[in-house]
Amino acid sequence: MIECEDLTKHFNHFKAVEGVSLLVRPGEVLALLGQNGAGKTTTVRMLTSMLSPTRGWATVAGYDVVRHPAEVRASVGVLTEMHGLYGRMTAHEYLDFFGQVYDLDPARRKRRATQLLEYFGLAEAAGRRSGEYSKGMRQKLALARALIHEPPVLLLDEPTSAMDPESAQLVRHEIARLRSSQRSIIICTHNLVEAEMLADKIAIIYHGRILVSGSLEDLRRTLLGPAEYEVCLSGGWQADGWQWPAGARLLEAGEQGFSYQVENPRVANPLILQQLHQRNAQVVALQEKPRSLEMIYLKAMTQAAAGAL
Amino acid sequence: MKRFDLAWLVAKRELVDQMRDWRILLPMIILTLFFPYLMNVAARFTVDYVNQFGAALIAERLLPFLILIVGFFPVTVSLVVALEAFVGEKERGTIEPLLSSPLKDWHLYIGKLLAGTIVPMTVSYIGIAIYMAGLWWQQIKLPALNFVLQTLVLTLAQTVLMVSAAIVISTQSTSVRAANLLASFIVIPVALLIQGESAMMFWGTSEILWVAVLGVSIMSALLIRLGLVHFKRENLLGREIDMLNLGWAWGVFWRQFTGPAADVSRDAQSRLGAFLINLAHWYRREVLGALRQMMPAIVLTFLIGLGAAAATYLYVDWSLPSTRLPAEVLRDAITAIRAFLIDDSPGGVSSATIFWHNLRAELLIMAVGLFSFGVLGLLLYIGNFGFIGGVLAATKLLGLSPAIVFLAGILPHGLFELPSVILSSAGMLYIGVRLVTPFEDKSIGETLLITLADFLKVFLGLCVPLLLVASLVEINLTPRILLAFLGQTLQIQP
Repeated sequence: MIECEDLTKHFNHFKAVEGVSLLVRPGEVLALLGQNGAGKTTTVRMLTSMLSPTRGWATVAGYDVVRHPAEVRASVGVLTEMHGLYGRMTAHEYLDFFGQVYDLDPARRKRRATQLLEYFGLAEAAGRRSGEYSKGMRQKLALARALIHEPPVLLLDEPTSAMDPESAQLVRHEIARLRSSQRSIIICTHNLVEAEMLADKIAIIYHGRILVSGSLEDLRRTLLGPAEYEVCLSGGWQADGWQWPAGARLLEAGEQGFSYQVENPRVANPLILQQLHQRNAQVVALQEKPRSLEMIYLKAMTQAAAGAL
Repeated sequence: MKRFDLAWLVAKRELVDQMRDWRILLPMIILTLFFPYLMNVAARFTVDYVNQFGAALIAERLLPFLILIVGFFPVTVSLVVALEAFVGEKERGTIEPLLSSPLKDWHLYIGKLLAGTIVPMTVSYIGIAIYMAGLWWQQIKLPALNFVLQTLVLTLAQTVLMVSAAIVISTQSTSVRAANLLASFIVIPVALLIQGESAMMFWGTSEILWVAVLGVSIMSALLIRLGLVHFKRENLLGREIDMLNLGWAWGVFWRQFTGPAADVSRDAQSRLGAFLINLAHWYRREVLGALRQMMPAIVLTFLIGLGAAAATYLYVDWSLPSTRLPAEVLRDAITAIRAFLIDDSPGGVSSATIFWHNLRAELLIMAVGLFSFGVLGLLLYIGNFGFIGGVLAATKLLGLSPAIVFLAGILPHGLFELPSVILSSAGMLYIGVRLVTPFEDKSIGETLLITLADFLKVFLGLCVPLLLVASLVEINLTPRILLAFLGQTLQIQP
């Protein structure tokens, strides 16, 4: 589990992170989104006891980041912004080295290294020096390093950057598998599609401050308002005598149909369909308007820039 | 648990990495093989040359010195490995996985130190072995085993000194470029040190180099301690650019030096009055406060001085128990003392000259002490006090009482001069100790500025005024007191 409250980091007068509070339970993935320099890396560094907080507290895998830094670091697998490989080491040597750093016995080191290299498709290149690897291969090897000691907590900075689509999918599968094996995972990413696919929770950080956090649905509701639906009709729609159920309101109407916003679709949508049926309207489709994470993120950024968040 | 194996793990990885880098290997191989050969040629040439003039002693002393040189050059080249130990990894982005691992700070630090030391050390010793083999091959008389042993140990101590300094630089720099630029601050002082050692070797008692070994070893240990104390993961990650912020540095220094200003609004009638009140306040609060901070160093320095004076006194007294100066030498010496005591301004020496001479000595102690955690400053101080003990014992040769010479000839101005020397030497020791001791959350730079300010409070507030008084007493009072006490012995009327 990862938990922090009022986590703050100042570098002299510069406020890198201000009052960040997060909770990531076992089996949860949190996507930490934000612009470059927003404070994502500093937050991760505090959660790995590399930086000490100016204020606030954090526990990772049950250990306090200030009082038990060695235990925190032993419990965390970190994928850093730069892959951090030693170019003159082979993949095998590299994983073996970090296996020793994490105090794994030789048999386990060998087993884990073989498993990970095979999983990430690096087994054939395992004897080559990592300096000769492509960007994607380096990223996969760095991820293998973060996983070598099977940590209960993972902090992954751009886990699929520079990867081809197949490799990225492989990594996403691995993250999903790790989530199902009760790991707590934080992903820092600019890839909003990936965040939407993987994350149970999302936190958007701006100038060191968490703007909003919660599930994707929570964020949609908070930033974009209630759900929006679109009704396509084969004929036109007559507004005369139409009764909107409580919590629903018309957004737009046209020759092909209309769209509306509704607080409680479970209650309101059947009533709307019932009315359409009573009017013998030919319903072609009724669907929720797609509202992606990108829309949420951009809305958050716009509001933050305007000082509304 | 200490887990030294983890430090060795870090070192081993680094060593393997170095062995795979031809840019490191090539110059080291060339230096190891070619440089000893060059020195062999130089040795052959020198031996032949000095033998023409029957100066075999010069060659005898020069050959061990060349061992030092053969050992020194490969270290300067491979110093680049230590210089980029941390900052290089930071630039390449490989430091973060290490810093986020359970390795402790000292595992990383000692691992890097070992890796930085082992290669240059090995290369140095191989070079020395080749040089020695070359001497043997050319049938040049090999240096005495004792000398060889001393130079080997000294090479080891110097390598550790240079590497530990390079590692400190590497932890404090923000780029490899900056670290490499700072390398001259290691190479030049050590080159000067080697010149000093060469002088020792030519002057040469067989044991003299052990003093250098001791001094260099102490400095190495202190540098390692300094590096460990100030090694912080946070600083490695936090600092991105080097900014010479003179305003900030001056602010830190000045705040510490002046302390809070006194409230003079009610008491002061004039600017002079306000200045005097502030000065009194500064003495009471800041100078006394700094003295309290420095007290352990002052006591230790005093005891060291006392010990040095006592030791040389006993040594000289024991060495020359039955020596009698020839009558004419004794007569000349007593005549010189008479001239000194009777002449109001002996040899044209004025109070200002004495003051400047003593101030220069203290500034020298300060200068060398500042760069050596006080070690070299303390050695000069020990030399001073040792000299006093030796001179006092030697006065017996003139038939004088050391006690009277001390009480009448040294103590009057010594009452002011000796505390001044003790305080300034203790100040250097204080700075050195504070640098190698955890000091709240202060960086090396802040610690240096704060302790330097503390030292300067005492130096300007006490040492300099004491020296001024001492110089006036030494010229105007001491000769008269000495004359009063020794007049009869020296057959002079006071």
